[in-house]
Amino acid sequence: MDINDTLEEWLKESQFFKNIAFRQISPPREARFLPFPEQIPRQIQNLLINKGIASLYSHQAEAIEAISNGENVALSTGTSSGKSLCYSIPILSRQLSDPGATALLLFPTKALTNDQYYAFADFSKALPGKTMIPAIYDGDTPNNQRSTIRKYATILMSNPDMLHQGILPHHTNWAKFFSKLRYIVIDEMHIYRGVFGSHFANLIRRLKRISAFYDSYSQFILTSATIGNPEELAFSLIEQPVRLITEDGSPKGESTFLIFNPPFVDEKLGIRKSSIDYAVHFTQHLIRKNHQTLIFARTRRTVETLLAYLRNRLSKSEQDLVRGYRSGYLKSERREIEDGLKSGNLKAVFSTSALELGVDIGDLDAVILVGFPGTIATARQRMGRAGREQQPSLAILIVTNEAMDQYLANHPEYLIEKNPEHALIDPQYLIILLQHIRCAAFELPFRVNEGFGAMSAEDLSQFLGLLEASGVIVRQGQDYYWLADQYPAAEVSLRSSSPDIVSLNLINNSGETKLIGQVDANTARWYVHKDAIYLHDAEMYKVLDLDLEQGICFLEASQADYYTIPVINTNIINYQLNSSVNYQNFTANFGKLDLEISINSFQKKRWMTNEPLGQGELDMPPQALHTSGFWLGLLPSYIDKLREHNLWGSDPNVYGPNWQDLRQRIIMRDANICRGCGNRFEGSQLHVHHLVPFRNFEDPAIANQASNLISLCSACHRKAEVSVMIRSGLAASAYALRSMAPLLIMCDREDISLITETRSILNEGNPAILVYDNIPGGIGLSKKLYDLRNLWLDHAIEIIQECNCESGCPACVGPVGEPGYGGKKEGLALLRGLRDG
Amino acid sequence: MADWSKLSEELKKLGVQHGAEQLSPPRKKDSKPIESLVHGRDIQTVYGNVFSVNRSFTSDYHHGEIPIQPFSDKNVLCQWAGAPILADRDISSFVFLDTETTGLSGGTGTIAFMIGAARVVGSQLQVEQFFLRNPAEEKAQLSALASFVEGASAIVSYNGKSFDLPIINTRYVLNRIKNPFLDFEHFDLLHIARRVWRRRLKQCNLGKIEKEILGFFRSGVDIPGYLVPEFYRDYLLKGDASQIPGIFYHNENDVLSLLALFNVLADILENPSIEHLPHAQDRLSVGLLMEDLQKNHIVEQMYANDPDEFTNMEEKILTLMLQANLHKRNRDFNKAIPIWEEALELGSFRAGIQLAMFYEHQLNKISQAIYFTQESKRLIDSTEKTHLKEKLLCEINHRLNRLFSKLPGGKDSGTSH
Repeated sequence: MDINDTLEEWLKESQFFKNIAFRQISPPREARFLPFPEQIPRQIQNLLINKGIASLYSHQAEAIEAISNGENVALSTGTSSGKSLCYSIPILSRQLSDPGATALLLFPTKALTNDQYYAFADFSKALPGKTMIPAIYDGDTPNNQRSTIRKYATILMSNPDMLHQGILPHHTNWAKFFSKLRYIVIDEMHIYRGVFGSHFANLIRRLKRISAFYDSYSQFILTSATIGNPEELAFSLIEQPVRLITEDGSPKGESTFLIFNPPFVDEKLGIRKSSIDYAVHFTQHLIRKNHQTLIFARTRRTVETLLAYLRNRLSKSEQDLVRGYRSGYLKSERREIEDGLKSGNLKAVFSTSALELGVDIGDLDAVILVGFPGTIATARQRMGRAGREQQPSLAILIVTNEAMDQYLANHPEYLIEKNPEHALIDPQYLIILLQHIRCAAFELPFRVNEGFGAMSAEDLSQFLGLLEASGVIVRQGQDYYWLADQYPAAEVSLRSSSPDIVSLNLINNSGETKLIGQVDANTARWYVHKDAIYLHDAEMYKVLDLDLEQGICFLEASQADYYTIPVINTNIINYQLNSSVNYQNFTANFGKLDLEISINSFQKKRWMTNEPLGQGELDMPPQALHTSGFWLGLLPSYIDKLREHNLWGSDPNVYGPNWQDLRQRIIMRDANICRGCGNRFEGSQLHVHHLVPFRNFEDPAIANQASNLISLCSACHRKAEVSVMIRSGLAASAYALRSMAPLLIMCDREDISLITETRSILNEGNPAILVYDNIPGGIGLSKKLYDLRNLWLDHAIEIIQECNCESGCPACVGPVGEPGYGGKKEGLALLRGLRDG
Repeated sequence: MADWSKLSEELKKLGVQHGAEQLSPPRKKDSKPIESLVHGRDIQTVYGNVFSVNRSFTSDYHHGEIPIQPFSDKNVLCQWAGAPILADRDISSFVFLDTETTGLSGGTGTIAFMIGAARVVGSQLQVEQFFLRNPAEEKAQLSALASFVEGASAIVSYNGKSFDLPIINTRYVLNRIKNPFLDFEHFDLLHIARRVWRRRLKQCNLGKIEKEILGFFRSGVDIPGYLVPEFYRDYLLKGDASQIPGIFYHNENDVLSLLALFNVLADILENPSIEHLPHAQDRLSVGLLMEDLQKNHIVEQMYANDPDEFTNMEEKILTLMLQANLHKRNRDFNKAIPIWEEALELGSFRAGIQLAMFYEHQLNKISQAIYFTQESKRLIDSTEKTHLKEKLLCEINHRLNRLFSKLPGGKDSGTSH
């Protein structure tokens, strides 16, 4: 029974059918073959033919030809389109015609390196002569093999961290390798975005600089998942033009892609059934029908929950067919699971991102995504795991009730057509740049007229001057020599923007402490503040204490049934405008910001249901953040216009049968004085106002408590209502904008923050919406949103427009009861006004 | 100088600590040039000049208690170093070398600002110390060093295999000068000093060796190694050369100690005897070393120590086991057995296994063999859990099973051979 038969059965059930938000059947794609490009030597052609490869897919041939012509190439094709042949063939060919030529292959994770090593080892065995020596050089390489590898390897597989700390600072040991370096392969380049990408681009600058010292200039070959800007990203990473190849010539079996949207429990409030229950349900069916299935979840905790739920439903003998896979597992366990998938012994594996990056696990019948994984590139890569061979396959995205998930349920085109996500990096990001200039100065003295990558000698000279003044380097003649008794690469982590780290120490029952990891100081206050629940390698911990000055955090194991999120207050101290556009209703601005970030409390929420369980207080000093941001300043004329058109007006509330009595009593209590302006009025002229809006309460009796009511004159009342409306309209817009940002920029959720202010110094005391980078100095995320602001507004308008809830829900402007009231209508009106000018 | 103040400002705003406190003070006005503090000269090379201090020592010079003139053959030492071909070579083929560097972490950013090298030329020992008045003189330094070592074929160092030589090799590559040391044999005396004296001295750093073995004591002028990078930075950045003479003294004596130690080790390995090695611990160490070098005729004498000379239980047991092993090799079990029994008494599980093997294979007394195997198992069980322990327990259980099966009524009884 193939998977399509199973799907047919499912589709007969209306419970299943009616919740399918989208269904696409991609017909099998025929392979497009091209003959071997003439640049491939006979010997290699014969070798390929012997391996059963008689011709190449069109994109492979195109890439190989371009590389042979000396071009840099970036390949952005499907998950199993045979990208590795595109670089392995040119590397092997070159080694035949240019004995001793070398290639450096950089993989973002160690797991990927092994598969590639075996592929090359296989090739080199089949080719006579001993010039081709593939080797892996990473943290796991035994010490006694390292010097041999340095001397003899010609095809070196490594990772950025090893290049950074182990190879470049000791490049003289690699003199032979570097002097013949011809190709540099950057696999999975879309991983190099944000902070990591900015580090990586500087690492490439260092690599090029060292290669140049040995008189070698290499070509770059990059591969990528589908992202919005592969060419731009490749260019930023290597600072050279690249030829982009996207036409995928590989075949694919028929595939079905479904978006399953769990039915409503309460449509007005936008609450849906749990995506986890459905994932378990589907997986159970797929196992019974003998279809091998991989299920991706967003968090390790979800993986464990899914596994436990499913095992509960399975018979004893079936339970062994199911495993979890995540980063806390031992390497040997992971290999066991990978092998179990390949051999077919395992029927279902629940995984976090640990399994996505090209780890070879063979063919799968079905992939289930429990919730949108955060980026479209990742979603596509995961779905691509299904149906590598020419047989029907199924990919299901079970969406949650979060805004982005619901948006994609309504706009599945993003998951199947062009990806709008832009991977952004900023190699000139000051803190990162300085770290790498130090590393580079250690590796090789800078000359007076030398630049650094695309950076001019003039710009670089400021940095060298600073390092010289600090006694780190010394200038003698035309050169700057490293002088400090330091090994700078050891102090730089490629994954962090902050040079300061906090160590995480676990205290066990007997009072012993054990180091379990580290986080950078910037994020420590968010995640490991006192009393925070912190997840590390799938284990849950409670923070006992955080000492930021000492860089130490103490934790204990925890079984809490809740998680914590910090409540962050942003105070704008100062700003400096870099660029601004005036519209009829608002101004769009981009500039530098001096902010003060304080975290004075945190919220506890129950796992899975997100039900609020209370607050905790924190005592941490505010932190200065100098960053860049994009803000929308609403003009007073626009506010007036909204007011005039009464676009903000709320529906009349039914205040309850004894409202008139209550109203009189409040006016009497306030002695006919307007509590806004302080003037005395006739009783009939006064209004009674709810401090917390009436519709925030389920029970009118509570809303109508005297403490929530005040007397206001009509003028003051209008002002009060408007400010509540504006605040909620702003909050609603902000929620929608925040939710849609990841569609345009690839970043982690905490990389940007979005706030609204009704009286903002950014806008002369008028309302403003601000988005800023959470990384000191800013790394270009809010800049990109500034550049793509119309698209961003469009997306935010769409999610509100298309949502069926009554006055706000998690899928559009936030659940009712969040700050302000629902605000759906107001938010929509506000955003439309911004979109139309 | 480029204007970096704005940049510094910007970095401070971002929270990067680049404070003024780190900025180096201006150069001292009254600083004395190195030439006035140290008696040296400029050596001319095709790459320019380098400053060097040269001292000669006549053959009757003693470093501490040790003459610098070789006083024994060096056959065994050369064999140990894997260079037997050098055994007959004159001492002038050996270069004694030590560097002073800007850092201890290695890598391309570490400069050997002083390279001290010693060679016997004619009847004299020549010590040459090539010093960088600034890093731009490095090409000349390396070139002068290459001339100095011309014709030699071995380098002698202390920890040079993992420290000095990698740095020197790196400097040659970075300066694109042909590296003269590529085909040199390397005698790293740290490794052999550890083998000979570790049991007695525990630590084998050069300072300890000088005091305990060479009888050499440094004067107050000496600069301790860990301060060397800092004082050189002071010299380069502030022009303060006052500590540099101390570094010259330090480096020169490192090199002289190398030569003295080379002579001592050559002699010990060539003529190991009780007179040469009055300490039982050293004899034990040298015996083990000689066993590795297959000098079996010497081994017996080195192992013939009274176990009571050792206070350390591990060494006591080791001595017993080595002695018993010599008897076993001669198939003199009558002598071996009481020694194993004594070792077992002292807690050696290995002795128990030896006894078990003896009873099983020589006498075919299975129940005795089982007894001793179980004794061994008991001893292993009482140790802390390690990977090795797991492995040993696995082996011993295997042995026990095999022995049990050999017992009358065991599952494979009668099939043993």
